[in-house]
Amino acid sequence: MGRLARVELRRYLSRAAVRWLVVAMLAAVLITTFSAWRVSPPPTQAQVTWAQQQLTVAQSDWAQHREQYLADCRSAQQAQQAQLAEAQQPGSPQAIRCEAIAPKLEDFLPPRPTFADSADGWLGSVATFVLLLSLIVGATFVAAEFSTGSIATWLTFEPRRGHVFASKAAVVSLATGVVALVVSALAVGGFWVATAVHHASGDVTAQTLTDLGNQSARITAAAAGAALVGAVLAFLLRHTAAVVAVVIAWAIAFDQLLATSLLHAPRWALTTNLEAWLHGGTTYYQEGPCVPDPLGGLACHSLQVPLSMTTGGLTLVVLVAVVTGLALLVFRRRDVA
Amino acid sequence: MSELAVSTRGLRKTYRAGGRRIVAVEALDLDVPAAGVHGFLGPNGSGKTTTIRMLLGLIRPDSGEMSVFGTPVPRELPAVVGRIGAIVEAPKFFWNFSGRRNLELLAQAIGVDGHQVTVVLGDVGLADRADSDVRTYSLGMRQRLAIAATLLKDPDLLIFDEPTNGLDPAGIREVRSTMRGLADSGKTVLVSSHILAEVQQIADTVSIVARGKLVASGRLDDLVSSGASAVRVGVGDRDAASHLLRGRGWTVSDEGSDLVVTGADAVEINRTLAAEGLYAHELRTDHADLEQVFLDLTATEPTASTGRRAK
Repeated sequence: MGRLARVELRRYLSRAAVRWLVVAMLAAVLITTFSAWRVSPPPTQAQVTWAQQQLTVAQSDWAQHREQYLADCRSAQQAQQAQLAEAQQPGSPQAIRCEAIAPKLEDFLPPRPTFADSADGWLGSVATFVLLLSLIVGATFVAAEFSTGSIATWLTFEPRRGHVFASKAAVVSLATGVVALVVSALAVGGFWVATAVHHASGDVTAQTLTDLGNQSARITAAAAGAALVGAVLAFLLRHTAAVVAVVIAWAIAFDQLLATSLLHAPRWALTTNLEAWLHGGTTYYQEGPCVPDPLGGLACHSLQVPLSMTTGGLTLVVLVAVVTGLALLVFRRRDVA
Repeated sequence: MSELAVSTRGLRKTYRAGGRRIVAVEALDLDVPAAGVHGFLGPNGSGKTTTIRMLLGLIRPDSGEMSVFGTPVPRELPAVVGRIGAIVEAPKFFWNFSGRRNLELLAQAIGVDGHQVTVVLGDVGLADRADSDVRTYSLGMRQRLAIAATLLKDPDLLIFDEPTNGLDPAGIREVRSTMRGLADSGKTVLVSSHILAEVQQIADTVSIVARGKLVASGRLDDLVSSGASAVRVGVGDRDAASHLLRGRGWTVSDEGSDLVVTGADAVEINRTLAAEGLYAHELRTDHADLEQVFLDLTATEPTASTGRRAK
């Protein structure tokens, strides 16, 4: 088994398709880093001058209508709280803060993201590409054997199909996970440099770095899982294009149409669980009970339901395990042309 | 009884195609003696490749038993796979890897020293192109690479499925010589082919299959000598001779200026003609060759080697 794994690792490292897909991941890092660099410079003198002019006008307006604006704000605040109470979700972190509505200079300057407050979002953007490319890496690694027919040659040297399956799936999953970890680390480093050159690192604390480390670890695990899913689906479908098509079809047919629209169960959508895992938890909207409204109709409210990272991750693990088991069963029994 | 390299009993395999079951192999009892070259012959679609794939565990039989060197396969194939080297149909490798890289991966998988890769590449005459990608190889080169792959294990049984497909005459002769050489060194070579002239030159024993069933098996010499031979007769009064010979119950046909007679040997024919005052100026026995035997046994299947139909 160890010998087979070493052979598969050698093949993994030799495959041009794998190298190109890793280059594509690095390109995603570069593009996101460039984007971070583009949006993080300090405002120009012209922008500051314009903002100061706007601030002067706004402060004049605020001085005249302050009481009215505050009253409007508090009214909106109460309405929001009533809505949240009805939905049984008091204390939303995004509650309106009326004490902060007085005009300030930064209200009129272009937004300036910092490493501290935006690196997780940028890393999330990179993760989308990394997961998609990991899926393709896994698929092409196995499908190439079926399309060239070399799987038949391979099986005449190692007929134990369970070993063949396990070595290929394990190597492509672990190796791609390592690639994703390196790519994530490069991305975080790139964001740091891109913002630091503009003195836009922000308030970076140990917690900031720990959070980014945890996020990178989750991306690594998800990439390993995506590569595994790509590989085992290729054992089932034998073509990379078919694997990609099935995943897209699943996202549309199951996630969007069946789970979300027809069954009203977004909890079971793949994307919901993936989002929970990657973002350390998420919320989704679940159709709540409908109650009679004063006009005689029915008022239906959507409930915002939290989904923890652990629950989302476990759901994904079960799904991957089921697909892997099915693929192994089929590969062990199916004729190889 | 000598040891059998390969044995099958009651082997059956069917496929589903277009909503109905196609029988690829039916009740096949195949015995391949250890050592020597065994020709596994049959028209295209007769079940040769399917049988080989079943032996190698690539496809599952519907029923029947198989063994290689007495070891039941596919159940215990891992125990005996190290003694088997096989090429099934067209050689299949990773196209974007060099020939050497392909063999290195296979060698590493079975724990063979990397030096052996260089040796077998040299053995098949691929040393010069070993580092080129397989996609740049001709079919003949890929075939030689496949033979090199089978030699990596130094196997006791080599299975070659149509090994000369795509090879030029020099390559064909080389492969033929390689197979014979391997057999002479004590190995068993099972070669499936529909190119009978080649097999006839190197095979010790043969099995002939048609429509998934075994129709003949045994030593090549015995099989060929059992085939019907014909006597070509040159005689002055052809009509009278033809009438006379047909009257004895023999089959007579006109071929140009000669009569071709089957069912009797030259001595009987000569005696019969002379007794009636008809004197042959030519009598020649045309012995059946493997091709004739094959065509007779597989009946009406045109073969790629001749393009003719059996009578």
